[in-house]
Amino acid sequence: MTVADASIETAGRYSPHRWRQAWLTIDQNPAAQNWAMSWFGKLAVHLAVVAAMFLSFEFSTPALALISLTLFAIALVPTWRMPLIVGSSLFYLFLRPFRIDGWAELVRSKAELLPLAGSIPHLGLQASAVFVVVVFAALFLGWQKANSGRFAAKRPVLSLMAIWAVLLIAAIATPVNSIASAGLWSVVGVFISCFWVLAYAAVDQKTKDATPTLARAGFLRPFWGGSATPIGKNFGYLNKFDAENDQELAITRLKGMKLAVWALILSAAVRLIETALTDTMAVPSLNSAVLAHAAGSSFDNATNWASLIANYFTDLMIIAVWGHFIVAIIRMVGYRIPRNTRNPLAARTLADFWNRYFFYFKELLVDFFFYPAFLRYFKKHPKMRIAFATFCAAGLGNFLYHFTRETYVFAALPIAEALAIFQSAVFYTLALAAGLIVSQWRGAKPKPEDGFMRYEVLPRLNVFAFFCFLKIFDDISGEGTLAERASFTVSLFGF
Amino acid sequence: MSRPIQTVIVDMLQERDKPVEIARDDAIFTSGLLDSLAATELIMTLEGEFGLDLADADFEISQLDTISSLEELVAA
Repeated sequence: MTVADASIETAGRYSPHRWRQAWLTIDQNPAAQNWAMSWFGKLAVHLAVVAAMFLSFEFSTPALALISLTLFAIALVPTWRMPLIVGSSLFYLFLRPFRIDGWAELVRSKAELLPLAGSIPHLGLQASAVFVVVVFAALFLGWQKANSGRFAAKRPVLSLMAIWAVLLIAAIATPVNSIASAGLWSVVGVFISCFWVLAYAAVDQKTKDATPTLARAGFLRPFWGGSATPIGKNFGYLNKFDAENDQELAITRLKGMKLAVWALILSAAVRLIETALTDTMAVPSLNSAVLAHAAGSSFDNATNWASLIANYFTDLMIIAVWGHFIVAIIRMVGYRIPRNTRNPLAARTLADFWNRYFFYFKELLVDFFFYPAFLRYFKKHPKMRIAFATFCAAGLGNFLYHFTRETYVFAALPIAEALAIFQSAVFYTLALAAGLIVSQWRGAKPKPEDGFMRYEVLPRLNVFAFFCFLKIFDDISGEGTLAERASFTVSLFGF
Repeated sequence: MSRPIQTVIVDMLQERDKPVEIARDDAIFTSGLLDSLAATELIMTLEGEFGLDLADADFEISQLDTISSLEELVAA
């Protein structure tokens, strides 16, 4: 070998491309797998994931501490994994029972009216509500198991939805400044925050999944966090992805580590882009642009377009960041579940984008709305059958998910006024359902033989345009009416 | 006459250019091998070819996930 050859080989060995390839295939590398099975390797992989979470600034200190301690404890005593997951999740539920601030603020304001106000009443009220919901979950799941032949046990999600509706109506009907009102609203808030995890637990009980009922009842707020959409669903789903031996566990953890590092990189990119947009280029958020237009002080057209397009990409990245972190944590626990976001920009159809953008939300809508409708209605009319099931999922189910989550608004506003808040959400979900139905009816997927433009470019532009404009109406806050959002859309084209 | 369940699944995999080697307990849908649109096609096949009525409240969608659970469903 000449000196020149040796220097080329050395340069190749240290080339960024080679390092990148080695990193991306680290879970397939037998040496890395063996290393990840050693005590030192386990410690290093866990430290890398915790470091990625810490450096991303996406986690509060208590959440980071709870997640880290639970992950280290599971690695240390793997036979205690189930009690550790449930115990940690229960602790998290008592600490942070609400998924959105609206509920926490409502319970705080209700607690101030209680006679024992003074010390830390809202935490007491919150903890009591959590206790009630956990006991209810245990009783409901126990009853469902013992009465599996009854209709209410066979259709548990419908039963849970009916219970939620009764609780909400009772809370609305109770005199505002009463202890009963404070208690009922707190219970409704905790119940709806845990609703979809509990729904998956109830559905799992109809399958062969052997998770104990008490464990299901304690697992209402997974310690890995997230929104009301259960990433990883529940134990029935998680168990299908459980690593079956030490090597599989090592591979799963290496995949978790890779994903956490990717989430950190994306998180840094989001911060850079947001800083560049707001500080350097003075591009407002899409909501600010819409509200400015509604107030009669619209930004110029180019700024509004920039805001619309930037919102689309940053939104995709933000969803990817927290979804990747949660999936990474679940993989560190030993469940090799699929990602939440998987290259949405590669989608060529609306349905495929929906599948790639927020996988576990799509799964929730498919599991609880699409299949039940598809199995029961329009069985003799295939096109109508698909269309109605799609409407039930992307329209009805999607709206119901967001509506139930935001029902705290009924505590402070008259019913008609509170309902008006949801007008944009109604339009958004109907438009999404219509788009997906048309996309499925058209059927034919683009093929490589259609040519570069018709395969690589136009389908992606179509998906981009649809979701970009739809985002204008993706609002549940009630700021900016449907008409104002429609007016903003039209103004983009100079009208 | 209806095809064996294994053949139904293998045919669906072949139509989608997916690997056709699949064990009886391998996950078909949760693994991402087939998507929810393929699940609707399978449901229609089970209804049309095997005469099943899956609208019953006892049916759970996860029963479609493996060949062995599908065989149990068809045999029931």
